Formats: sequence, structure tokens, C-alpha cells
Amino acid sequence: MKTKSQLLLLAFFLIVSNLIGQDSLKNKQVFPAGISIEYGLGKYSVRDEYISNEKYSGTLPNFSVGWSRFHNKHGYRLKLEYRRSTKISNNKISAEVKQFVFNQDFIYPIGKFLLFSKDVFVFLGPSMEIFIYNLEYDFVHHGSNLNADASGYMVSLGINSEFIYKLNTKLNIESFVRLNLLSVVSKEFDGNRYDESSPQLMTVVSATNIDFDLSIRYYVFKKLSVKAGYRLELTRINKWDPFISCSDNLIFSLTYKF
Amino acid sequence: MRYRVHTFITLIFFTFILISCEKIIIQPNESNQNIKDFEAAWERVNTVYPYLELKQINWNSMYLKYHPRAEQAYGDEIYTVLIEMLTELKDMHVHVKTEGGEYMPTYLMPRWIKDKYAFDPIIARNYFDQELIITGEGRIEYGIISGNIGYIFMATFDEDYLINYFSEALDYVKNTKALILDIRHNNGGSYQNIEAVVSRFISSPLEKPEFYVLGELIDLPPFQPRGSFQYLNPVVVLINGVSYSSGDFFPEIMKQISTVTVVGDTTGGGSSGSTSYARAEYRLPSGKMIFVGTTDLRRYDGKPWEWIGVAPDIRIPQTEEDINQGIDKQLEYAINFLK
Repeated sequence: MKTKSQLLLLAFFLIVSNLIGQDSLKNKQVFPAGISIEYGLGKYSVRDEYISNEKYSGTLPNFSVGWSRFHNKHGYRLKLEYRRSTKISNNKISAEVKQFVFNQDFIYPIGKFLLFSKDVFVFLGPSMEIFIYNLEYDFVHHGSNLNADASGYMVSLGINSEFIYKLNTKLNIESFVRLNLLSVVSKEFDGNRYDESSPQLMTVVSATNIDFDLSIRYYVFKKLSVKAGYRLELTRINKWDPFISCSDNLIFSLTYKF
Repeated sequence: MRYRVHTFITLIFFTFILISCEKIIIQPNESNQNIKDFEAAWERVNTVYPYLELKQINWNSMYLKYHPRAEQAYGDEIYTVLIEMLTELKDMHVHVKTEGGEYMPTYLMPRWIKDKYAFDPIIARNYFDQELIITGEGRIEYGIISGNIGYIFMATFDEDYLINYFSEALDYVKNTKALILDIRHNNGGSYQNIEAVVSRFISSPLEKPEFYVLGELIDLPPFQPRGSFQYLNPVVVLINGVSYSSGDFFPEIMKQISTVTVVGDTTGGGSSGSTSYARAEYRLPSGKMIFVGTTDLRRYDGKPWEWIGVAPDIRIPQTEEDINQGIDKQLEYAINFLK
């Protein structure tokens, strides 16, 4: 709650700072390229029905490093994300969750539109994502041989879209969404109950991975920017014993353009 | 214009930050059958488990001990209650299985833990001049050691690997002067796989030890010699503390054959099991499952080997340190014994 209040205060501070009318800009100048490091913290919930129909929830921080670059006509982004927590639980049963995500996005400018008399730059492109998770449930005590665990992965092709609203030379509002369309998916399931092979090719209907991001970026200097915002991540495998995880995060990142 | 931007951004942030989407998207499970699951599990053990008296377990007192905890168990807390209650049986055959199918053992035998790292098939392979031949989907490895000693490693008595593939291995070693059957770290499987192997080493019928299902003695026909030939040269069976269930039963049977010597360390000691008409698997009201043995296999002296295991004829203990140094003392002894 304290973190949310601080973020709101930061947002207000940035908004009321000097809003200077913007010059006409190229996509390369608008796009926040560079090396970035990011930290996020928020609420997380998961249910893997291979182990349990119960919802496990708690906090799950995330750490990521990324690199993006924009050439004259297109850009690309690589990002590695790692998440781990032992602070998720169902009643008094705790579980440890680990997630690893690797993204590669290609970004193409497709145009712009006006919002409150300022340009919103729109980017679109294909994406690739590798998502791996592991859950260890401490029914007895952590690390015991008598516990249960579940894991799975999803390798996806999809699309990403980004909206950059350039308020002035120092301030952007940015929104990003990534959605998988086709995935190779595997997770643990009981071979006695499902007479199917694994991994399997699935569409977004059966295997869904959505990332949504809304944030404010402030350029401290021309090459250094800080970002604060909100991210939603939803992953769902609706096959075998279904898996679903969802998190709301407050995110903070630092980007250096070289 | 500035005011509209303020309002727009503030509203968006408030919406996302305060709603907490994960609460909307993933709803908690509303049903609670925890006390029913507990009652069913306790009753199942009370009805079918063959060793309550042998192990001097007062199962009624376990009801009194765990029922209050089951009443207070919400959500997955019932797993802790079930596992801890079933752990009182100290039986590696007893499991809890989640609704989805993940097995959770409730107990690990002390000898199993002791010998968990005291054998490595990769170290054993170093004793061969040539690579071992692998069959049975990787569950059977065989070869010939210098000195014309055959070697067959059987990783499991599960599925039908030995029924289908043991003959291939035995054919390869049929002209050896002696044979090592290695069942270290073999966690068991079916009676039929044991029969497929034993039947190749006997020249006359061999009586089976006593076998009870739900307390009733079952009359079993003896082992009969089978196959294109019988291997009647000296045999060493290698065992250790991780040899369990059918991995206990097999050496007990083989010890009855005069050409066989059992070498290694005492097996794990698990003599309860399951049959097709009295299954150990039992579904609880919520869909969770428990596995509680319905059968009681005995040694030839009439005693169950539960907890006791099967002792070797020649005890050669082996440790993790031996394996870390690349030494398989038990295999070395078997080779020298047969030379």
C-alpha cells in the first residue's frame, strides 16, 4: 500500500511538471532504446490443477534486464526476466514459485494518432517468448522429499504492440501489450489419465500468455530515463490439468541509451 | 488540456493499481471436503492395511490424534494432515496422490536413505571393457566382464520390461561361466516380471512363499522352469538398501536356488502391495488418492519382510564415498567371488 501511494505521488509530480509542446519527432527518437534493468513487485496468484485446485497467492518480485535498439525503420528488444518467491501460500501451506521468461520482440512503427492534441506513436511487431515455471508445494516442510512439485514451459510466437505518448521532451506515457498466438507447450500431467503426447502445439485459445504494461517514463538526461508503472501478466494453459497464473506489478526501471 | 491529461492518467493508474486483477482472474476454490477425505483415509487404512498389529500401531488413537487437525484444515492444509497421519505407518508403499496425479511418498525407509547414493550404474560400467548393451527402454543393461562373467542390470520390475526383454539379455550371456544379476536401486514392480526372471534359473518347480490378500491366504502355483534354456551356472544377485518391494522379494526367492549367492546390503523392507482385484489405490471424496497396501507377502520362513528386508548371504556394505571415488566394492566382490 505504501508503494502504491508513493507511485501515485510520483505520477502526480511528473504530470504537473513543465509540459512543453513537442517538436515533430522521428520514431527512432521517440522509442526508448538502450539497456534497461527493471524491478517489480506485486500480487501474484497461481493454480496448477496437476497438484491442487486451490489458489495460491502472495507477492512475487521480478527482476529483468533488457536491451532494445531502434534503427531507422524498425527496432528490436531482448529481455530476460526472473521471478522467485517462497511467499505464496494457500491458508498455511506455502509454496515456492520460480519463473523464467525470455522475450524477443521486433518493433515496427505503423503510424501515430492524436490524443489531447499530442501524438501517440504506435508500434507493432512479431514476438517470441520462452516461459518456464516451477512450483514446489511445502505440504510437509520446505525441502522435504515428501513434497509435491509441478513445472511446465511455453515457447510462443505472437505479436507485441507499443504506444508512446510523448507529453514533452522529458516525459512519455507508454503502454505495451504482448500476446502469444501459437505456442509449443508442455506441463506435468498424469499419463494414466490423458492419452496424449507432450509437448503440444496450441493456439492462444488453449495456451495464453499476455503481458500488459502502462507506465510513465521520465528522461533525467537525454540518455538516461526512469520508468514507473503497472504491469499485468497472465499465463494460462488450458490443457491436461490446467494451469493459470496472474500478477499485478508495480514496476520501476532504469534505461540507459548508448 | 493539461487537466484532461492529469485526469486520464490518474484514473488509469487508480483503476489498475487498486483493482488487483489477479483477484478477479483467479478465483479461490469454494468446495471443502477435507473432513470427508480424512474420514475416508482413516477408514481405508483401518480396513485393509495388513501390518497394524505387526507394527503395533494403535490406529484408533491416530483418529483421535489427527481428527481435530483435519477439522481445522482449510484448503490444502489437509495434505499435511493426511501425509502426517499416513507417515505413522512408516511404509514406503503408502502414498498420497494429488487430484492431478503427482505422487507424494509418506515415508522413506532408513536403509533406502542410507544407500541412496551408494550405487551408480555409471561407475559399474567402468568395470567393463566394452559398453553395456541397453534394452527394455533403458531399464536393462547387459554385457560380459573379462573372465567370461555375464552381467545383467535390472533397473526395475515395473511394466513388462523383463517379461519382454530379459530373454534377450540372458541369451547374450548364456555361454558365460557365471552371472551377476544386479538389482541395486531396483524399487520393485510386478510379480510377473519376477516370475519371468526366476523361471530361467530353476530346473524344477519352486514353491512360492505365503501371499495374503486382505488377510486371506492365496494359493499360488509354484514357479516353473521356462524359456529355451535354464541358466544353471553360479549366479550372484547384487542388492542394497534401495532394493525395495519386488526388489526385496526377488533376492528372497533367488536365495532358495542352490547356484545363487546374494551379495550386498540388506534390502529396504517393503512387503505390502496391490493386486488387480484388491487395489492399493483408493480415491478420496475430493478426488485425491491414497495408496495403502492390501497384500502381505512373506519370506520363506513365514515372516513379512516389512521393515526387516532381506539380508544378503555375504554382506558388503558400500557408501557414497566409495562411489565418489569410482569404486563399486559390491561389484568387485561379486566378480572376484565368481572368478
